[in-house]
Amino acid sequence: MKLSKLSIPYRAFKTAGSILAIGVFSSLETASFAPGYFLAISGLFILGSLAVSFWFYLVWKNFDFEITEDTFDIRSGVIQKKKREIPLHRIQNVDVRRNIFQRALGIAKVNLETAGGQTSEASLKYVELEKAQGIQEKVRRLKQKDLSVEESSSESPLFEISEKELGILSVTSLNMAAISAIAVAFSFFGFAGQFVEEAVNALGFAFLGFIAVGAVLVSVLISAASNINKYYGFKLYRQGDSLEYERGLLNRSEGSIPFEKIQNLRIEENPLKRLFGYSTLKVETAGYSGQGQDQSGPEVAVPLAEKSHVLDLSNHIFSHGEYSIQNVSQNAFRRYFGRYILLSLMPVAGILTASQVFNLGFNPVLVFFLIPLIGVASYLKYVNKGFYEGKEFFYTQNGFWNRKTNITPYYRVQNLSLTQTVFQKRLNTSTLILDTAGIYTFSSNPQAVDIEGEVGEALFERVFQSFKDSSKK
Amino acid sequence: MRSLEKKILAPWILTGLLVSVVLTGVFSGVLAVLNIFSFVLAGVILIVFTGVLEVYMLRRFDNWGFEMREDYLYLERGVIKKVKTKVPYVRVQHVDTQRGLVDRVFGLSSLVVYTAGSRGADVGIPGLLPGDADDLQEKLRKVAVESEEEFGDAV
Repeated sequence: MKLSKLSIPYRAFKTAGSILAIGVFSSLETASFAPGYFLAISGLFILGSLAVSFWFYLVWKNFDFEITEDTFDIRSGVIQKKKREIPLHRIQNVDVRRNIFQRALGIAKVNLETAGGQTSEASLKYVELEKAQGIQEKVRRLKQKDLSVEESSSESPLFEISEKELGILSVTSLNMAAISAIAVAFSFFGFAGQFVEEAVNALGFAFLGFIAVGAVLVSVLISAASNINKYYGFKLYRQGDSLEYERGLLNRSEGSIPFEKIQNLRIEENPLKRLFGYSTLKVETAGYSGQGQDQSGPEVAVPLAEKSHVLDLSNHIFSHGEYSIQNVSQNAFRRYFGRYILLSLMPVAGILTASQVFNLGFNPVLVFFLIPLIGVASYLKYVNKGFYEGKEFFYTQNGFWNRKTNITPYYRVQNLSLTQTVFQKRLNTSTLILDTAGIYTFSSNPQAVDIEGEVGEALFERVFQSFKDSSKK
Repeated sequence: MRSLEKKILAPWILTGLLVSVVLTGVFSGVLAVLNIFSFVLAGVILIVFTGVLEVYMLRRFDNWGFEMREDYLYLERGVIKKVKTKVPYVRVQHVDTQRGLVDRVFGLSSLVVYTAGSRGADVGIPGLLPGDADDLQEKLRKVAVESEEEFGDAV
């Protein structure tokens, strides 16, 4: 099979476009208006474009692929010929992507993903859309026959995002922490206003406020737009033994999450979502599953839905049943209170120094204003922490700004740790960490933080026992 | 519970001393800038840093322990943050012994146990005799293979 002929002009335009951009920039620097200069440059550009087009014609001509019973064969290379045979059972996912230009031309990029690698194993730069979907379908069929898995493809999606949910998502998925930090900073400034005014005149202060409000508004708009672009028309299907999703407005992408790779489910709720009773469901997998190379966190299985619906879906994946999160040790509150007091000493010391240096008055009332704030922050941190020991799953919950509830099957545990810092020792608390296999650098392991010392010791034993029981053959 | 070889204290104590000397150097620099440098003061700083760091190193040695238990490798370590870890044998992917330059100078070796876990991906035991490290590596490899028959592999 061949690539789409449209891929020649498309790739040529893309390359010529970047050459043109470079050309324009470099000629701006050496701007010369000598007669013939412009002509020479355009001539060079036209010649270059022709060469580029010819090159991509050769690329197209030499590119050939074929799906056999058990391999995906690709022959390519203009100067150096390459022939690759990728065994079908190694292909985890066939990923079809289209950006807005490709959609206008009716072509798509097909990526073949295999396990382990961080990048695509091979990509077909641009085939007709129908052909792309045909390839996806054929590989899936051949693979499933290979694994002798009966097709239990349900035509109706498990989840489909509604316009209302998309709307709520775009509003609620803001970085709440950043916005409140700005708000708190401003109320703090307002409180210290009478002293600040001496240094900054009122007009300047108002201007600063204007900028800050503007920045918040812009970030709200950008975040809303990016969420709509990312999750527009989100659909989740069950296909054999994997979850398939498609999503996106400008870049439509599809991907799959094999059930056997799922390590951990995660329900995320920020304060706004909790207020309206919505949550997000994410899936942590071990290995690449085609959402993108820039991925640094778990994959989204449900961008946003009502909590009960999210729980239905998480039960569809794990059948974990009911759970009720237990609070951690009350001493945890004391730990956070102490920690925040210590942390707040630094900015207070900073303000004190600044007030000495710039000869401004320092109002000690500020410090008293901080204490109830720290109390509230510590309480919120404490009250959002929790864990639950289920029969086959362990549940942990952490975080106020983005509360994450992890549902971890015992048989996914890689190793188990119980940690206790000197501060925790004083308060008789400890932290239990369940380490699962994962590829994400910026995602923390499920952990029950600041549980009572004895509970920690007991869970350290029992969770390991549950791991053993659940992973025995 | 097995502890580390006493020999490991030599490089650790030397490290403590080195860090203390460097820190004293930095502090002396600050004192010199503030024009309050004196050798007595620098000496006191050096003694305090050395004391704290060496106590830390001794505690670190005391708190280190490991044991091969029925179906997991058990490790205990840490001074400021005590960490106890259970690594199920069935999760062990491979075991390395490593001998860095310092290890070779002091006639030591260390063992690194790899699992598919993201956080404790490399569980390391320092301060072993080369012979012991090899033995341990061999034993762990054996139990890892054996336990795979009993347990499923869940990655």
